[in-house]
Amino acid sequence: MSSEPVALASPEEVSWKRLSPKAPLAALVPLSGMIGRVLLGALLPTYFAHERGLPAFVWVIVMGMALSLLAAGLYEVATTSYRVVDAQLEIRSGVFTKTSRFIEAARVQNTEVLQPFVSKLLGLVEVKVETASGGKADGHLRGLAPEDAQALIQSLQVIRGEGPAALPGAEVPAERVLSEASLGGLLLYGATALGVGVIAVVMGAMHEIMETFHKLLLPWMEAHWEALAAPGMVWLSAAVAALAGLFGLWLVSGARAVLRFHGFRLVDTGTHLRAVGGLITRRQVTVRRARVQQVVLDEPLLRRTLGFGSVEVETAGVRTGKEAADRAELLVPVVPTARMPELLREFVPELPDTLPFRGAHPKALLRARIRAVGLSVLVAAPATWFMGAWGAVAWLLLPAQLFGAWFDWRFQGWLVTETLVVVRQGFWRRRTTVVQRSRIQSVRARQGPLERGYGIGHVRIDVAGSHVVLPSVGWEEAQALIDVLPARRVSRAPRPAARLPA
Amino acid sequence: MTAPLPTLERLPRGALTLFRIRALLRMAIFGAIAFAVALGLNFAGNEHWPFLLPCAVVLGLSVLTAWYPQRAHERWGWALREHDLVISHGVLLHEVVSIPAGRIQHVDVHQGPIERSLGLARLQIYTAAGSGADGEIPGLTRETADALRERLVRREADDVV
Repeated sequence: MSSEPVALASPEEVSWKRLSPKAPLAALVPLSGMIGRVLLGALLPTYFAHERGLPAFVWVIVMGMALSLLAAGLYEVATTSYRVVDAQLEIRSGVFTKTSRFIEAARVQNTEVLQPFVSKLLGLVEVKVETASGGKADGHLRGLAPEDAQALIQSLQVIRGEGPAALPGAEVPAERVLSEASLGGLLLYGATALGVGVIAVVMGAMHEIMETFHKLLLPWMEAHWEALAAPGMVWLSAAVAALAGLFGLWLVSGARAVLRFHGFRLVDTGTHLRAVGGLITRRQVTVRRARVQQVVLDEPLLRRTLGFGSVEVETAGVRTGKEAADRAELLVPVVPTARMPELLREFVPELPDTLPFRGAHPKALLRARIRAVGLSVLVAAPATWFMGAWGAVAWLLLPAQLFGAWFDWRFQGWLVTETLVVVRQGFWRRRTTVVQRSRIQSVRARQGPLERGYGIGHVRIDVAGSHVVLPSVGWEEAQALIDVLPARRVSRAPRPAARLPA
Repeated sequence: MTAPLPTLERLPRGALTLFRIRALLRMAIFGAIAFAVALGLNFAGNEHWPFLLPCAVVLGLSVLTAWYPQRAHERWGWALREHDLVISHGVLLHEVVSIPAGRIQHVDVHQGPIERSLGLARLQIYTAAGSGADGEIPGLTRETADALRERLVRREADDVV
């Protein structure tokens, strides 16, 4: 890899490139979706309130606002142009009010090429360029021809002295396939990745199905009332409902996994990692190897039993999402356990063969137990007060919580090597996080009132775009770790202060 | 492995006044909110007991106002070392933060109206880690804040994240 700067054209020589004329058409659906999500707060109460919804004049205002937002979004897409000049990507939009955005190529963390369904029909793609500056992509170009998108990404790589065409005549390294996902593997991944969102979708769907079929089933139930009222039928129907719910969860989760990762393939291009996948929306994420901040190995118990795990790769690009997997810039959904060390070493070459973890501080178990008891009492006491004998069942939470606290404490571990910090947490959902010490932005040692009583504390390590918390350690050691953990990087002297013209 | 924390610079005496004024303002605001809630409950038909609520809030916050600012002032401390800035603070949740000098992206100096009247300033240190400030030192004298800011931003910086 070379970091030689390439010869750059002057701004006057570089012409502006427009998006495709079909770009506003491609942007219509995603923009409508975005505006719809914003207005969901107004739409949902109306749906559930039926005839007692919002008055007509409020609807006129809401629809007027939605149409104005849509028109503004489409206007921006129609007037967007871009060019790569002076080692920067410059994006310009607007006619009356012109907005220009400059993204330095050296600051780019990762790029993403998306092809949603409508764009696929129109033969277009979207390009997102992420830096470390915020929660969403800094450069978002909707409606590019695929070859223009690849040319843009390549020109950003060339400016940084990376990629296949960095130096004329240089040998282009062969691309290596690091990981692929089969349909069966994706279904297993989906079945073991039940998030809150999926549960909400299935609960909503079951509610709708029960509402719809209630009237149809009622005559049949009345005809077979004798059989339905037999002893044990309550438990049987509860078991059937639970199984149906689980099946629904598996189905939705599996479908989500296939939609997101169908045909998944992770390729190493030498300087970059490129992941491609997706059934309806095709997504290509390109992450610079040099920008990898944190790698997380996600292995819930079920996945471990089935012999696989997932790997999340994070750069400094900040993404929003409820689940950690949504926030990761690059996610390898299915990695067989046997291949895991090899793949992890692709992302973090310094990872040692064996990981002799240090356990959490013994007194952390006491703290975990107190928390478990507190939480159980907080739930079970009001349940018993308000629901009587049935509420007392909630006290079963106490042994379960105590058991869980021991497991979580027992299977925590941490390790500091010369270049890395490795943290392992959780038994039921085991997550192993690997952070490069040279990427650490800040380290904080914290001690709550309960921890103070036991003389322990915990350490939080922040890297750009993410953080990891070490298991509890002695307070003295926690304070010492904030000194030890950040490794110094090769850095350059500050630029001299610029002189203003007289 | 154990490296003791460096000797920390303490906040000036004026910072304690700032903390006390803030605590009094907090007490006034929460007291007013509690009084408004009590008034609402009173209008809803409850006769006398709702007014115990603002009394309890003000009493509780008075105890806190008498105790907390002094303790918070004692706990705040900072040290600028060759390779990092260390900030220590917190009464209930004690926290010691180390921000490596090379990772600092920018430093802000804030002065609210109370701070301005006391000649104090608040220093906020940002890295690439998140959307908010990674470190904050309130109640510094304006001169100290400016000098510290100057020393932090003049240090060598890592070029990219």
